[in-house]
Amino acid sequence: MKDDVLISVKNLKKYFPVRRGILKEKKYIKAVDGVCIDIHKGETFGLVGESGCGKSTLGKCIIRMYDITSGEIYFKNKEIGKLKSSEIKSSRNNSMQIVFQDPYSALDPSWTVAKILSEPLIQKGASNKECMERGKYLLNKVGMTEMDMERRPYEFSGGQRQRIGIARALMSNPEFVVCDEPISALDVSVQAQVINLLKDLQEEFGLTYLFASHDLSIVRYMSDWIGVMYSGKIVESGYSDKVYKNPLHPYTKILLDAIPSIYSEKRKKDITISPENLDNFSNVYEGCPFAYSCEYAKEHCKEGKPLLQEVQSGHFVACFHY
Amino acid sequence: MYFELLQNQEAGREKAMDKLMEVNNLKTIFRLNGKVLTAIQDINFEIYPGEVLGVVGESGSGKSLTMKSIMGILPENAMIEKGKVLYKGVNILNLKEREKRKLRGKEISMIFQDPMTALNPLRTVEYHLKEVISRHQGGGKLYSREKAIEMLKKVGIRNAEERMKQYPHEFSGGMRQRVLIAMALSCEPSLLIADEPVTALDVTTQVQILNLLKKLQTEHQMATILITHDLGVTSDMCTRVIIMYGGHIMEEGTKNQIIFHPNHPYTRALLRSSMDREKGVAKRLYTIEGYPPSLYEHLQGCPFEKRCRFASEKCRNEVPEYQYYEDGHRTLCHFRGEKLDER
Repeated sequence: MKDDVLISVKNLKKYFPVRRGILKEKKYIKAVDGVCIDIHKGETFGLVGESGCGKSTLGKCIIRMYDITSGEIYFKNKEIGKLKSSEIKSSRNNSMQIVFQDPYSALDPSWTVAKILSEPLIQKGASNKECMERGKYLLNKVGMTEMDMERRPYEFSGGQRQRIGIARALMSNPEFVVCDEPISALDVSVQAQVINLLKDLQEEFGLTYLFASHDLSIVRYMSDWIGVMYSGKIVESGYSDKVYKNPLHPYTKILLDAIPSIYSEKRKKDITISPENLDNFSNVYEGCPFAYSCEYAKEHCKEGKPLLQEVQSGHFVACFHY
Repeated sequence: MYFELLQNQEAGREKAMDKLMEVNNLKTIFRLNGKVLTAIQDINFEIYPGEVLGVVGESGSGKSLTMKSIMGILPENAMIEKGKVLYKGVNILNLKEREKRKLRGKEISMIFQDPMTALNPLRTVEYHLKEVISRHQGGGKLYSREKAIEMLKKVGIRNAEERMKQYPHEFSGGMRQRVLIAMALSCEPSLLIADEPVTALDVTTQVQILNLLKKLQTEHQMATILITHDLGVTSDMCTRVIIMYGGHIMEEGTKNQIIFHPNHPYTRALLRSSMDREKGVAKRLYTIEGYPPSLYEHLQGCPFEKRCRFASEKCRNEVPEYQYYEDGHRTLCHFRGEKLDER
């Protein structure tokens, strides 16, 4: 394994059990189904996909908010996939954190900002004074003031709350931060502010990000490497410019076409990925998960599963057409 | 008064180019803890049959409140202080509650942002649709059922007869939004107000819903007000655009004027800070520093003054007046667009 790989995920699976019907037959939703990724130190891995494709689950598995079904996760060459929750707690607090999508529900409404920010450090056994000092330092870093320490979340706008969420994630001086759709709940003018902030913090503290979003143009802007996820699998991955400028997988093409453009006059073709396909088909059918929505699908697509393979240097795709 | 409205409607059909709705000097206030907070003021705009008017602004800019004022569904502590809303020539703000209820749903329909909270989780989709249809069109049970199926098919829900018996939680976000559209269009309204109809949806689902709206809008020749904060969606859908900020209309113009020749500093900043496929990747994104003004701030001058890079002393102290350009293009700014180009 190379030295600069911070996180390496091998064949990660996370199945959620569901019981349905009179016979209570046990079935599984395969939220993450055999994902392999490497995240390099100081870089941003962008994860794109629609809701329900498993990108949040993948992020939460890596920082071990969820127990994994099978597979391996290496953090700095140390296997953390099988650690017990008590063991994982210390390593998570020290080096891995998450910024959540919805800044309205991610902060406890009855806590002051000071208490919200202190929480991760108190878990580590830091003193109150240390917490306050670091809290003030980080609030300044995210563009807020010390005065805000005694205020409560409802007094802030969405953008400011997301800044507090980012400051909280950085309190324990992590190396790796999962950003789970951090800007999709924000206004356009504030989105750009938060994106710039995340980039500045990355440069200053040498952070490594896993950045999940459904908007490919934002992911491309943030990331060095992009992974496109569909139905629990990575269907395409590569350097962000390569994926963006020359998408290979039919699903990536659709995703890219769907982004409304301000300056382009071209009307979008109607897209027929019915969301129903997303959660059922991958569990029931063998074969390519996208085969039932794909306009290029042939018979053999529905039979065998395509594997992720390198078709150009630094550009992988899981499709039978390449 | 409602009868008068119906008569005007007949007359209106003959002169198709007549305004469908005209909003004059609308001002809505909130009463909160004994304070009076002005939420929107000096709102003036018109909408013609068959056109799609985009209303763009950040959260808190007053776009939803404007629409709620028009529909008469304001929260209890809000009040329309002055202004007129002439719908087919009749001021609908003066209608009695009973008359307004006839108007909503039948003449003016609304689609809300969050398709989960807009539907009653304890009622089937069939119940929702039949309620709207039987209230406004009468007809027997059989008629409303048939009409409900027809509408669901129209919005692209397969197996309409069976899916109708299901509850909202059994539908995905995009499907729920289709149900809301079916409800809103079931009485063939002349005006549809869509409040952020695709914001809560995935990009691929967005395209489906927008294409559906566009198709139905042309089919029914219905005027649409599309509220959104996504300029990409605006550019795709709208014929005319209003930009709102801090409770004021900052700029109004046709789509091409707003997108390609914006004359207000706020519109320009919004366009610059949006990420777009056609633009290259800059090292840093352009941002508008600061946050939109809160209702508690008492503003003497222009609401955008604090975040505007062209702001001067005058902007702080005096409320600007509209600058007019060709084809009804106007901006609320002390400076003309050409002047801004030079600076």
